[in-house]
Amino acid sequence: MGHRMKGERRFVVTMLAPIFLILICFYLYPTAFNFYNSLTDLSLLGLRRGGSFIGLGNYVKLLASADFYRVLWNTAIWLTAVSVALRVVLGFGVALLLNSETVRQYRLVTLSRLILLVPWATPPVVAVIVFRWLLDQRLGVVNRMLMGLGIIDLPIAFFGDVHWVWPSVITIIVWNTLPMVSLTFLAALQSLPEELIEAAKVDGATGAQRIRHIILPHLRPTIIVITLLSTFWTFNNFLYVWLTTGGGPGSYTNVIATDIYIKAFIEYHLGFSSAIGVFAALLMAAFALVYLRVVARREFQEIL
Amino acid sequence: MARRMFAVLLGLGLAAAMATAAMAQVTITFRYAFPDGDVIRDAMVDFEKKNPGIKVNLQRSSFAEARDQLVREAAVGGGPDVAHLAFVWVRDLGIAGALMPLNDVVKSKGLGQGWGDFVATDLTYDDKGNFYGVPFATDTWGMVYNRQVMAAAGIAKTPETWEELRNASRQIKQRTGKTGFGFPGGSGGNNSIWFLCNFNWWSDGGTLVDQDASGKYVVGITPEKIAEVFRYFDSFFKEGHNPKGNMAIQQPFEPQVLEPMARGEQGIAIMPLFTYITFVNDWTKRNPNQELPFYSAPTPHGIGKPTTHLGGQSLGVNANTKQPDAAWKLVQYLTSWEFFQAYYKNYFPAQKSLLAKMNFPPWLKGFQEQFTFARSWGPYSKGPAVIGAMWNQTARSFGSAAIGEKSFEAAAKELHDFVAGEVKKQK
Repeated sequence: MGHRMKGERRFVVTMLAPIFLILICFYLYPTAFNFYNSLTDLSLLGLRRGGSFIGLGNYVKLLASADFYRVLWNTAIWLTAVSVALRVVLGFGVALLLNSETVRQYRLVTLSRLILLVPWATPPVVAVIVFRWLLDQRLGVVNRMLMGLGIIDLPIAFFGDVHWVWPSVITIIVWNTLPMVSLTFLAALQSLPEELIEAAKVDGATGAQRIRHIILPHLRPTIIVITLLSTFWTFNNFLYVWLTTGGGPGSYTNVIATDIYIKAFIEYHLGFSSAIGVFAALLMAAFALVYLRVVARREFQEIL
Repeated sequence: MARRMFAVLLGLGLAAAMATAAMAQVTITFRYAFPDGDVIRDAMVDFEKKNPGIKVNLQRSSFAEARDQLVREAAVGGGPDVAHLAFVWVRDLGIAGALMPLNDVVKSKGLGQGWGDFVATDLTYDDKGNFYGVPFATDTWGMVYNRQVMAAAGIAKTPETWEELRNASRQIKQRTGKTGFGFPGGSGGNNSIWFLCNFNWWSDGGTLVDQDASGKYVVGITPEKIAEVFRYFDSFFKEGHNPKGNMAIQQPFEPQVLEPMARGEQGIAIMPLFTYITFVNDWTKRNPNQELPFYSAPTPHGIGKPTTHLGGQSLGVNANTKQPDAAWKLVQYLTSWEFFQAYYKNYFPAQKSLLAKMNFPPWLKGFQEQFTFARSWGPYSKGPAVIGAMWNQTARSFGSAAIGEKSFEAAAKELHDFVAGEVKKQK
């Protein structure tokens, strides 16, 4: 029996070894190397020479910088909290709509899902370029339409005006990523037993009551998972902000990912940039901890 | 028997010939970073014909990424044999060990009419006297005017000073409702406001980085002058003759700037020579048989001359190349008059003797004149300050003041202190 257990353990270890090797080579080593770099004054142009060890100097400088707190605020509130909240709320609404009787009645299920897939299939770079054209102050269709309808008198500088720049960036993010959220909710909605809804209707529950007392509790695990995963995907995002505003005007839309790029590849301060990266990774680790506690642990317990 | 013998001998002969050919064939990689790679592809066919032992693998990359990509590759022993770079990157890349010093090869194998014939060579040297790149094609910025819009606004004289430029821009907006001077005011890493501010400072006798009589690098401008120029460019946005949307535009070649110019909805623009040539070629294709409404002129000036920077493209040989001779032959070919005549027609060679042979059509006369006022980045590039860092900070400070996040004085002081911190790095 003991011999068999040993054999099984060896088999498990052998099977898991490649994945651990990959994790060590491509995750653990780069993370450790980045942490080491964050303790040096490494410059982009000094890669061959390497940097000199400066201890926690980069971290002290980072935490003493007022600009960094602005960057942190932009990342946590605008880029992540607002855009994730909007995606979850709108995604839920779209999923309810796609699952509704009306859509089925008019045989629009396939068509509506296909339409929903278009933004998802659009690469983010393309989405940004298209939106920059659509929202352009002088040539953009959106401004022309709004002016044509008499809603505005003068065209809006969607990416140049501080009142509009964040809402515009978030619009692109939400447009591009909403389908994934909606389809996930839709899949969860379709696993809801029809009888429950029917019984609630028979008991006289209104639409709002059905959503509050049946649908939302049923979707709770999905909402938690999608919120946490969207937070991971968004917090580190570089592309949407960089391609729309470059972090400007001034540093008004600068976020952690764009700041890391600026410090490393524009100012050449790789060591300092690595420190920002480590800080961002720690924040992500906090989210991961929440994810593990709320979601994964329960799932593991079910498996085990 | 004889036939079999003949076949064997023929086979052996062919095999030997192929082996010799394979041994003589050298393959090098040339990484070109501008969008018109087809032109270079044709040129490489010509180069291979003229140099039968050398095969060139042409790689394409984005110019914005070219420097960083080479730094990363060279650090681990990789990268192309010959790289297409910007003037101002060469020195840094050489010091970083990514490029080969070229002193010996230029001396022993020669280049064009000689090293002294090339422009902006000061940007290629390190402190020990080694130089790392060959200026390939040169460029500068100039003003572009739409004469129809100018006439409609009642402006007969091309602006010569910065104040005249603002008045003209204002007048275009007031009298035609069109955009006056539409320039990009974005704050991204490759922004344009950096160039505009520097042109203004230089033409008024100031400069962000200067060298004093003892050779020490110093800040050559006051915070007051920085604030004044920030305010000047901001006034175009505040007065509405440059649309606020341009605060999110980084480059002068972005369609959001060029398209209104092409449609006659904007009177004045500023751009590099290459952008202007491409713009005019495209406009002519779009509007066949129509008279070109654009003309160029030097940038405005203050108390000094209308100064712009002498920019351009360089060629560097990778420090890791295994084929330095073949790489050098390619550099020699790419800097030849024949290459510019046959293939690189939209660009201007960075050699004085070849520039003198160039024919400037009337719509390019302004740029021809501008070349006489262009200066190299000099102390900006040779000194301890990182150009990219100052470039980024200038736009961030300007942007912060423009949106009212900081006062112009505070933003100017921020930039001044930043540059002072950069020049303090000197040993």
